[in-house]
Amino acid sequence: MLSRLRHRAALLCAAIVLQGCATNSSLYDARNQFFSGQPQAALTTLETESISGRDRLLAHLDRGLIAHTAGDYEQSVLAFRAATDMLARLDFISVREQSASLVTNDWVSTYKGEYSERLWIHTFQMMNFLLLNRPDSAAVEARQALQVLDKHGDHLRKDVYTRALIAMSFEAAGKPDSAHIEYKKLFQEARLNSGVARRAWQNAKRLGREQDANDFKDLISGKARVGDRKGELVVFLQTGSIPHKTPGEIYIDASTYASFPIYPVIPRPNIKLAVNKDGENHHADVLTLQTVDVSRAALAARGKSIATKQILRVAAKKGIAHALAREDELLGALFSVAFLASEVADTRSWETLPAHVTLVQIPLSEGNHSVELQVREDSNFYNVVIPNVEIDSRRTTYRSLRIGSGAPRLVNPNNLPSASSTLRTP
Amino acid sequence: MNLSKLTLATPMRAAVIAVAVLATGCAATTRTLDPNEDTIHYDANYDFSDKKEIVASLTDSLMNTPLLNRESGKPIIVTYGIANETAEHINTGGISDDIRLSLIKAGEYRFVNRKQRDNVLAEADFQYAGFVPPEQRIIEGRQLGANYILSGTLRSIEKNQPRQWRLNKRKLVYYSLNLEMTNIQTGEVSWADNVEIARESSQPILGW
Repeated sequence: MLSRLRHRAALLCAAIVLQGCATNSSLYDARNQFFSGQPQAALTTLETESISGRDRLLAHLDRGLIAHTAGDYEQSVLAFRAATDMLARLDFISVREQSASLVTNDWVSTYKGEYSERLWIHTFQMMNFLLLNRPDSAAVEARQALQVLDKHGDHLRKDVYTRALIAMSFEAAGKPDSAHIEYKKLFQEARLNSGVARRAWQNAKRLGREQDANDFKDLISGKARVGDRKGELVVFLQTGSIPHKTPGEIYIDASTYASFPIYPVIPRPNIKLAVNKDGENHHADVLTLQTVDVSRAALAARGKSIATKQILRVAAKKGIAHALAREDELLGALFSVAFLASEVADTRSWETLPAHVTLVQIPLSEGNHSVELQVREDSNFYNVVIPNVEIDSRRTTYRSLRIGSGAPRLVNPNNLPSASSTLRTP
Repeated sequence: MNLSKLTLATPMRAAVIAVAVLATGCAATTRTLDPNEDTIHYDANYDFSDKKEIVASLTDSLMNTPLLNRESGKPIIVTYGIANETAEHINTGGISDDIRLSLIKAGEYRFVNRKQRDNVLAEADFQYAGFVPPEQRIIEGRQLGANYILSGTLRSIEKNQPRQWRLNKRKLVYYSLNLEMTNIQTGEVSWADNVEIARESSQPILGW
């Protein structure tokens, strides 16, 4: 009788230890395909292979980002919309999942995304809609992004890129008043002193807000004081890949430890950007965000709840193991080992994100241009030529591209017809 | 009665009944709804019954207004769409199309089709390119000139219950659609009206 009980207990222990604590294999395959330069294969994997409900959100996020990088903005819109719908459905605490995670780990829970990742769904949607020339839809996403910022703004304040994109989306949709509010927030809250000053100044001038216009004008760098722009190319430049979450561990005693996710501290790469237009050096306004800075702040915002849950989990596991040990010492020891082995930090995250997102705003006159971006990232030098840029003074022209070390090997995204990119190491 | 047979059969029957009950609960079903009946709202967001309410209210208002000039016949209207200023992806073209449909059916107004303007021009060019016999060609310069522009704005305000200990999350959404008719000759806003819809939804914080 006792041996049968031990046999069953051993099976239960194995189940606790073996339950999913690794990235879903289809997700892993799709990410590898993406980073090795096969975005279509990655999209097929994400659409056809089975991905557990726990990781479904990550599949939508990856599909949206991969489609965006490949230039398929319509598909990207659908994937991110699926992610938004899923988040709305998951907006409750699952008693079943929370109970299971108390005796195992957080990998058994459905991934709901960090606050930063929820915000970036709207960031990418704004870019998608601006690239698709649907400014009204971009403005809808801007309002949804503002709802996330209203809810979690304290932790997402560093995300100047999204705030600037919100303002640009309102501007594109013909809402200069709403854009003006966001530009003011950028300068007041985020202490941003360049990058979008010229835009903010021109928008304030258009609205007749002379005082604000003068404040913004003082922040414009010298070269940019070239009067009203006639036309403009905005490049959504994404470089590298965001660092992955890693497990951090705290030992409470020799047989007890708690594991939690952290973002590693990485050296900040030195990124320099130069723009050549028709073979000559040209001025551009640039605003850059290191994505991991926002991700780290968003993860820290969950720090208290992660710590509380860790304490409860350690107490629950200890309690069960002690209770079992009183009945059967071997059984108690078996469960202690299983509980210890199952203590794994949930390091799931949106791993296809870039390391940096940069808003490159290039004032151009009406007509057809060839624009060359020279990006220096530490010792690597990337040269990207964007030919056939058609500038219309009535609206902004947009392009999106991703380069840099750790970025997927995509040389010719669909949105850059016959664009060429070369990598040189000096 | 054979007792051993009874004890064996009882759990078997119970299992069959349980499976049958579960299978009934899991079956996919579809039913047709009457769009004219009151509809259950699954959440606080905009849905098709809101569109119906908005269209019915604004069409009534437009039909009964004495503010539009009808001296030279039925007013001719061109629609410039309804701007979506909400945080939802709402196809406001559906609202303006339905209002136009109701007004055309009522026979009080005439409409020019702005969306088809390029196609109309292309068709006219085609007819005058030598492919169509002269007697079958349309006569140029006979298009209707609109008297009024119909345009509007849909706005929303969303309020969430502040963070506190509670079992349900409440959300209040307020929608407002403003519609206006602008006299093209004078630039005057000759008619304007609005519809407001406010709805509260409650969602449990805990679930299985």
